[in-house]
Amino acid sequence: MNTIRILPEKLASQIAAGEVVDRPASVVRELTDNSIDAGADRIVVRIEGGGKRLIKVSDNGIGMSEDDLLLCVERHATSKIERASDLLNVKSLGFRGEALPSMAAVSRMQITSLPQGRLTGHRLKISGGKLLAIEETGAPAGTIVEIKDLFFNIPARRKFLRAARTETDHIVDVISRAAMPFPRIGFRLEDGAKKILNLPASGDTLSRLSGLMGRKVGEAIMEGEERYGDLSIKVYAAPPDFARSRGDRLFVYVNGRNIRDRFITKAIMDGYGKRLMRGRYPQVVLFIDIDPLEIDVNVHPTKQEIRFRNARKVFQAIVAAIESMLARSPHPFSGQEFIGSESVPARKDLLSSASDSFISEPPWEYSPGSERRESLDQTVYPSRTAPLEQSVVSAGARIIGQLGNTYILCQVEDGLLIVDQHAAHERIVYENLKRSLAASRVEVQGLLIPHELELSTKEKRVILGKGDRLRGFGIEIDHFGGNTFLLRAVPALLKNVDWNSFISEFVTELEEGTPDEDVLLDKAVTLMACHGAIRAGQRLSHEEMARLLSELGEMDLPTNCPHGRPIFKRFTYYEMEKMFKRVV
Amino acid sequence: MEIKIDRSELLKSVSRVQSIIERKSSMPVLSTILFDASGSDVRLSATDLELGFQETISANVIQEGSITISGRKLFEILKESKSETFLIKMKENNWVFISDEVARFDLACIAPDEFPAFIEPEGVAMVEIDADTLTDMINKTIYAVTLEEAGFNLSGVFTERVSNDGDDFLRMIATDGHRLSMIDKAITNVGLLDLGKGVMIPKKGMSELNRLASEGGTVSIGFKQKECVAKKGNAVLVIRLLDAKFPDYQAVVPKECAFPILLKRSLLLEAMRKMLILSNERYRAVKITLEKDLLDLISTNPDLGEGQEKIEIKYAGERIEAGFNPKYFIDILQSMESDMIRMEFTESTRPCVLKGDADKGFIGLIMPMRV
Ligand SMILES: Nc1ncnc2c1ncn2[C@@H]1O[C@H](COP(=O)(O)OP(=O)(O)OP(=O)(O)O)[C@@H](O)[C@H]1O
Ligand SMILES: [Mg+2]
Repeated sequence: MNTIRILPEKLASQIAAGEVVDRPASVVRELTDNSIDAGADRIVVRIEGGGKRLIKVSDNGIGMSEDDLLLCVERHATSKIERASDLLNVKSLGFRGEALPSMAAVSRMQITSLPQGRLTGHRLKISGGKLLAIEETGAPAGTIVEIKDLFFNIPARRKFLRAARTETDHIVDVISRAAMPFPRIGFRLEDGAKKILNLPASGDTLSRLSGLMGRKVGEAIMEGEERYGDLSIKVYAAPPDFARSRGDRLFVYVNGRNIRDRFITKAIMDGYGKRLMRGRYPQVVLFIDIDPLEIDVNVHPTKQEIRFRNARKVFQAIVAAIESMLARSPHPFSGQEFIGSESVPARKDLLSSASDSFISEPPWEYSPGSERRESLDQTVYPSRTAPLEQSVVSAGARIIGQLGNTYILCQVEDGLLIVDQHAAHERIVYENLKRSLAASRVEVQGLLIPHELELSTKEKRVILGKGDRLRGFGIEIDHFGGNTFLLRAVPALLKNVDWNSFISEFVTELEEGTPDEDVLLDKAVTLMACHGAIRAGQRLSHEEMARLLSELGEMDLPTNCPHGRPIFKRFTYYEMEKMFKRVV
Repeated sequence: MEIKIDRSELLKSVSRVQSIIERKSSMPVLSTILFDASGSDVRLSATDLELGFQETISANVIQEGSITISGRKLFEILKESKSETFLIKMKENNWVFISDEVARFDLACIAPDEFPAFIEPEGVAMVEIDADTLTDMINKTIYAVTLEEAGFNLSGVFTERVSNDGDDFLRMIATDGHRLSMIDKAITNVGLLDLGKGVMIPKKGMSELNRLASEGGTVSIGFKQKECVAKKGNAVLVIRLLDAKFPDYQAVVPKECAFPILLKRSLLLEAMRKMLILSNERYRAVKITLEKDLLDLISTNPDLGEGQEKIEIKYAGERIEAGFNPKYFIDILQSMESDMIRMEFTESTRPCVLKGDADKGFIGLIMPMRV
């Protein structure tokens, strides 16, 4: 069945020509792809000099006969597809019949193979595309492909190769990406005598994932699955606080084929939404299973790009799968009663005295000059006293105290939780506002003394034109004459807001005029939450902290503020023990 | 400096200043109490730079001079001791020796010249006020003080002199922009006070003033430029006034109401407390409906449920419906004393007014919410 045929000219030309190999890593990819296609369950890659000197891939797959060996280095020789229509339904990783001949042309190559069930194997030697020899040899069942001196005959190419370490990094990446969807196959990478990667065959994706991404990520990983007809999405994702500054931990597979696609990256990022800080990428493994007829894999020689017939559907499915998975995921505040360790709140008048430290926030947060140093008004947090014994009963979480009037320290089951009070409250105000707006039940507090706003002519124009939108957000503003406006009512949820700066920032958003009502709403609510939330540097009583945290527990997304900054950070006992060298 | 002093006398003054001295200050000297001994008196001073307090008590002065002592530590030492008299003595290099003849403490202290100078303004016109009257005025306004709101600095109580029908009153007002509490009291010679166009007393100053007045008797009070001076017995309190403008509130106080409602204060207070049960961060409003002879309170919280209470009243006006934050009602009603209160309500966008016969000169305003 593994008979290699020369494809008819026409079909051959249908397959886009192009360079297959550009660096050692792409050689490794092509060879491991072939081994996987050959049904191997153990693949060993050995390199020397970052693959520049030697790449040797051994597998225990079906192997090749003497005839197969001679054919496999011919252009467009493949056992994987026969006719043009097969191109529409590719199930193997390879199908172009191009990889081996391309590599043979630019290296000194040697393929040793023994087909399963045969007694004698054969070795083929080819250098710079010229067949040197084919001879009988003893060999283990399977195939060993050895590539020496890549680009020895194209000095210009060879010069472009990077330092051995860099090339090795690329090879590690390639093998990781190849290995992820095939936990049943054991992978090993050796550099000379050094073992770089050892992924034993296990059969379960999670342990493969831990092997590749680390134990910590593996333990925190969340799973989600979504089916839409014959489209199925399986996602393994680390929580948002594992996000990285590079997208190197985004593994995307379409029918088992690893692809790199901006469009899918975008869908993943959209799924995380505001849980991610700007410029951060999550750690995600995404498997898309789709009817092969719905995709075109023959887009690029490296086979890393793909076209979807119904891209929008795929996009939405990915976003939905990730969103619903994250929404389900447990978080440290769920179902917790937070009780301050000191049940007696500090005296109110003392609380309201100025505090000496103020920690400023990153500039994207909100306009400067909005420091507030007093304690919360009682109205924001009506007192809720809990019986003392509860603090012992709910041993899950206990508030230790406030750090620098900015962070709430909290003892949790597995260590320490540090909560950014502003980010946390911002999230609470944001979600509360959004829910009220969605229910069209924003409580609007009339101002006893209307607040006078002096606007610029430009701002005035925007308010006069689109001011109605403000009313929808619970802001009542009247034109008083000239450039003067009167603010008459504001959402009751918002406290201590500098309305002047809020209105001028809001006008900017209104002016940019997005047609999408949802986007504007989100911007408005984010802005209001930012202006209406308690500040960093504001002293909180234990009662206020407890209330803040238990409210946070009721939020849909208690992990990130509306700007995407994380709300809390966890330090496990394990991390602390490592830090103090109690464990190594 | 070396003094012998009565323990309980000293404990009284030292405990009184605990709320003034800073616990964790960037200026350590602010956590100390300054002792100045001369003649047969010792004068204690404490300050947080926004306000200063001084009290003179008699002592057996063996050697005149000054020292600073940690206010917190001295308080604890005095509290634990059972002796009648204490010896406090300055030693070399800013060490102070404290002994009650049973225990002795050597405390490190800060050089007295680092203590901020306490300047009691001179030539201030002082007026005597009944301490209970002052306490009443403070208690009926202080709860409405808030953080900065809507561009105004409202973190104090605005105090001014008003004339009504030829009588002079002292007026205190506080607002957070949503509600306002105002009280006028007739005070003899109030015209002598140098209040200019009104002054803003910070919240902490108000509560210290309250503490001073809490022992009854009379308090004399005076103003000069940026300071308020209050004296009681041998104690002097100097408060730095806030540099803030109070909004023009005159226009918001409704004039007359054709259909005032009279009802029992305790009844409305209890009803509002019940309405508060179902309020949370997102939904706090109680909907008040006024109909013929009926006051209907409903709090609806989509997250939790609904609560309702109907109160029979006498009312012949139009049907009015508006939302309110029940917390604001509770604050005001709690501070009042009248058995029967008067509630005036004219329009769903105008403030609701609360008054009471036994709360002479007081008026509370609450701005409705739109629900
Ligand atoms: N490790 C292997 N074990 C068994 N057969 C192999 C192995 N490697 C290659 N072959 C055979 O050689 C043929 C040519 O391999 P080659 O990689 O050039 O093309 P392909 O895998 O069919 O397509 P592509 O160019 O897309 O990789 C394959 O179709 C397969 O039959
Ligand atoms: Mg191949």
